[in-house]
Amino acid sequence: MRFSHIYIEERALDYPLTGKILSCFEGAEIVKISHYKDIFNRKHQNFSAQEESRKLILAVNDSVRFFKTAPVCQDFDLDRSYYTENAMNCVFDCEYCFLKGMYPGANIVIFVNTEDYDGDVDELLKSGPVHINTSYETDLLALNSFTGLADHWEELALKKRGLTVELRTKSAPSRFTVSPDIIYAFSLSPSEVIGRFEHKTASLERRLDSVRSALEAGATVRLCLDPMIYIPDHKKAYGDLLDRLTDTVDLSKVRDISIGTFRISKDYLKQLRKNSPGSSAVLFPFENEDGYCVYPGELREEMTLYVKERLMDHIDGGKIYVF
Amino acid sequence: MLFIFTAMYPEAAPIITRLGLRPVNDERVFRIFRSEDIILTVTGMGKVTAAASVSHIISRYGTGSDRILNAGICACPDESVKSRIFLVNKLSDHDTGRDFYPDMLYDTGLPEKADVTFSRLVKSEDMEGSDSLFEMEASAIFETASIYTGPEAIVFLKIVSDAGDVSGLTAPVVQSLVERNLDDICKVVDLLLEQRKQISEPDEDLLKLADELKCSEYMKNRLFEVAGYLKSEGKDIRAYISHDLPVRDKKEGNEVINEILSHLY
Repeated sequence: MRFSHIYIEERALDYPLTGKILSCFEGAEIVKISHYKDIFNRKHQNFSAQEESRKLILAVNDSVRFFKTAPVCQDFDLDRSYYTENAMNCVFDCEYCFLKGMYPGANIVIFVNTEDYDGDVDELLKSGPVHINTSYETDLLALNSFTGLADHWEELALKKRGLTVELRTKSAPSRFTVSPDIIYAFSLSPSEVIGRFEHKTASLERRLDSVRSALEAGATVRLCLDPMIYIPDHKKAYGDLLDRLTDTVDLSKVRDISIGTFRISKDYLKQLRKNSPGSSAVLFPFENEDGYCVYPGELREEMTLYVKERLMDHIDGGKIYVF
Repeated sequence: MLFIFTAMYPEAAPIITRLGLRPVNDERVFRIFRSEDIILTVTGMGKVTAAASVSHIISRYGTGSDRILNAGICACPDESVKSRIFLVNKLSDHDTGRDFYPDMLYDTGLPEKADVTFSRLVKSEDMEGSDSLFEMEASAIFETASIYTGPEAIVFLKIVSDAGDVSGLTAPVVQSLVERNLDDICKVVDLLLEQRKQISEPDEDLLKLADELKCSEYMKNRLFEVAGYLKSEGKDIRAYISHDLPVRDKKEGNEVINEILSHLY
């Protein structure tokens, strides 16, 4: 991974994480900035052009750092489920990613004030156990080689009683911390979907290898067949995925599996279509249900039922969550 | 279109000659030189005239796929970089304190620096403790151009002419400085010409189909959405229509669109 430019807020300069990141990119041009929004939130940015040459922005997050998960997100029946913005945007390029509809640009922001996040976790824990999704608006495991942020959250989950951390990824990590409180959530898609729409991500083979390694190590694993993307031969594609999954992974060891078809807010879809021009993953004529664009009900049901029924031959139905 | 802006004619002259630009005689306010895909404007010195010219030129000649290049001389307190050219990665407006960032997407190979825009000629004392570039137009050009286009489309090239003393800066000296860096300027011009956004033309056959289906605005949007999806899958929407066209009325047109939708999955 390489960044030609790193923009750093003046107030972020002295944080240890800033030093760690800069040591990984010694040739990068450093530009000092006043506030990350001056560059991240500029008007009329060209997401696709920026994706070809993403820049890194190091900043201090002095705003709200934890959010209750939204109704369309996965809370797995947990009462106190939050997500955090420790980083914004991702090194991967998934054509259907909601971040392309939500963020004004493709540059990656890393918030370096980790101790403030730790303090917030302490506050949240005062009212009881919490589940924190750390990779809702990024992929921390994919960024871990130069940020160490996934490692940081793993250490925090080991130290703080009541804290469960989920690290969701389309990468293929090879090292795992074994704890019921650290959930490695692997996004799985058919090879056809990965090849067509999930650019720069790990191949299905590598993801499945990683899943197996995690389970063999005794780590807590969640599998996410979500979002399922419609392609004309979707049954065959998802059938092949399930064949490979059930042939090579002992699903009885998996904590749970989530299933859900692609869904996105109407406003995000409008922007996403601009930022993923010509992508059939986002150009599908969706139906609008209460402001969310979804596949037609019949198709949605067909896609989820097919996968759910196949999985129920291998895993207790109570471990399957449909969104 | 590629729009090039320079503050003074001596900055523009070598570029005009190299690119073979011709004067535009029906422009009454600004001096303009052009070719088929490049328009160079001599804005005059200072932020107000720079902003006015950018707004005027883009409004009059903009195509929606434009690139903008500001090239010119500047001051820098570092004497060792005199006569060198820099790509600007940060613009600060001295008056407002606002910072602006052009996207750094082009691999020009040029060294980079931050730039500060003043409303007056910069004195040595203004630059103390800084290693930035100093000049009088760039922040206004960026701020104005940003109304019309994105930060990926705006590029600034600055040639260091002095360290705060402009007494020896005659027109031939300025022209000579630009000439010395002309290859680098033209390399960036070529990059920008290559990068102009492709504007998709409205699909005439699709507009015709919308007419044949007697589409309302809502139906037209739905039809275009379906056609866009089919095109992304390498399919032609007309292959999904069995009904004779044109239809009699909107109701029948809607039935045809629903029929196409029913074949999608």
